[in-house]
Amino acid sequence: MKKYSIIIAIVTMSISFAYAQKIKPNSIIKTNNSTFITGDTKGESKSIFIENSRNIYQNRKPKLPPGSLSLIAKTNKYSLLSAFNQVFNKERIQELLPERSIFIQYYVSPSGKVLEVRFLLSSGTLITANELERLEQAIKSNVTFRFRPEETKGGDFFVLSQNVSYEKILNKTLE
Amino acid sequence: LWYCEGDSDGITCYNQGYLTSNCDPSNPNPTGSDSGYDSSGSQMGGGSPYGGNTPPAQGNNPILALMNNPNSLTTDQKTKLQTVLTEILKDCIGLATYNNLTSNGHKFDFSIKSDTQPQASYSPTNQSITIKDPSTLSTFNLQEEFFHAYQNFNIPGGNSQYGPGKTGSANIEFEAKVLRDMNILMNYQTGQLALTSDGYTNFLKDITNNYSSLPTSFTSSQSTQYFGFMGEFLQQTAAYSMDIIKSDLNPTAMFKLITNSTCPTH
Repeated sequence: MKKYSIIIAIVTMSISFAYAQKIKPNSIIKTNNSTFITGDTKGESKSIFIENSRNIYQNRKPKLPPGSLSLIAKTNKYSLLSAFNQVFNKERIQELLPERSIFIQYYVSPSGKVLEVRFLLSSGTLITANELERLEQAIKSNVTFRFRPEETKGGDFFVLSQNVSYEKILNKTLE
Repeated sequence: LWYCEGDSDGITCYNQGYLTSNCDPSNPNPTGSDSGYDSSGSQMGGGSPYGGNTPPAQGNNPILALMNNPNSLTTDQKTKLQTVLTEILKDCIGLATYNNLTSNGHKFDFSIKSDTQPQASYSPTNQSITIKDPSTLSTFNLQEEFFHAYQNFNIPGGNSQYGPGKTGSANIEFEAKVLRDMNILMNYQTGQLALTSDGYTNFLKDITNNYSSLPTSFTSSQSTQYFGFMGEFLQQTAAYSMDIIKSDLNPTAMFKLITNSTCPTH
């Protein structure tokens, strides 16, 4: 009897843990090494922003206005593809394909280093918080941007946005 | 991007604005491209390539069709402008803008002024486009000025009545920004959006049906949001802080351009 109780407890905990990784609005989600927070569902598409609880830039206003950069390029144009490939295998991307894309907001230093990222996901997304934690790290490790130095003078950080197509990850054309 | 035109001499096809070949009328779309956005991130024309898609008139140098005086720029400057224009023409909105301007015979005085603040500017009174430096000009910058020219010819009374600081000036600028931002996201490019707020990001997702197609109109709710974000845009962007919103000036130029483009729409 005791043995069955232990098994049931373990199964229940596993289910709870797995469920906790699902992206739900207005939640605090513990991942392996971090905590992610989600916002309210917004808009007709019922989308949810999710980010690491340690993020600080979203509530700050950049010193330079949007439109100040005439050149925005990734130092290695396939670096984002590498980041996704480190986290998701082909089968997993195929599972995510019906969601079409994932929106990423990068907070980038004047030298082009990714300081923070935020994600905008459709409610009901199959992506888990643990995957986002790994993706966040992979982006920070792999992706850097190149700007014109004269256009970053006086700037503290820049907010860049990209809608990332899952199909482009599959066919290896994501830049 | 392939597209073809027919005349008394037969059918001629262009690839990304460059004259390519005469093509088989029974197969006017030799690459087999379909509607929507292609895998490379550039937008592909949808529907018939004969349907309202006039190719650039100047063969392998389409910038000349927009220039009043081709000698106003050096060969090097024209080459750099052409490089930017070639990128613009890969996009269905860029192509629709260009085709509308050239098919209506609109030409502009291009000049280079390194001491100007914006990367590019358009004057509706002089029909001139001033560029800071062709080497640093982005596709976004040039396409935005082409769109302002499109607005001028498609908004009753033109853009001059809505010049900087006048009532309606905010509408002219924000309409161009929203069109640009939708394009950035639908083309899977990386860019700086006009606003970084979550609400605006969600708004762009909603009005593009999850980044799948461009709107030919707004719902009442979307229109209310649009004007709300216009106010936010003025507050957050010092360069436009003196501009004034005209509450009944809707983004009709944007909708008209989208409607007459080959982009996927809803």
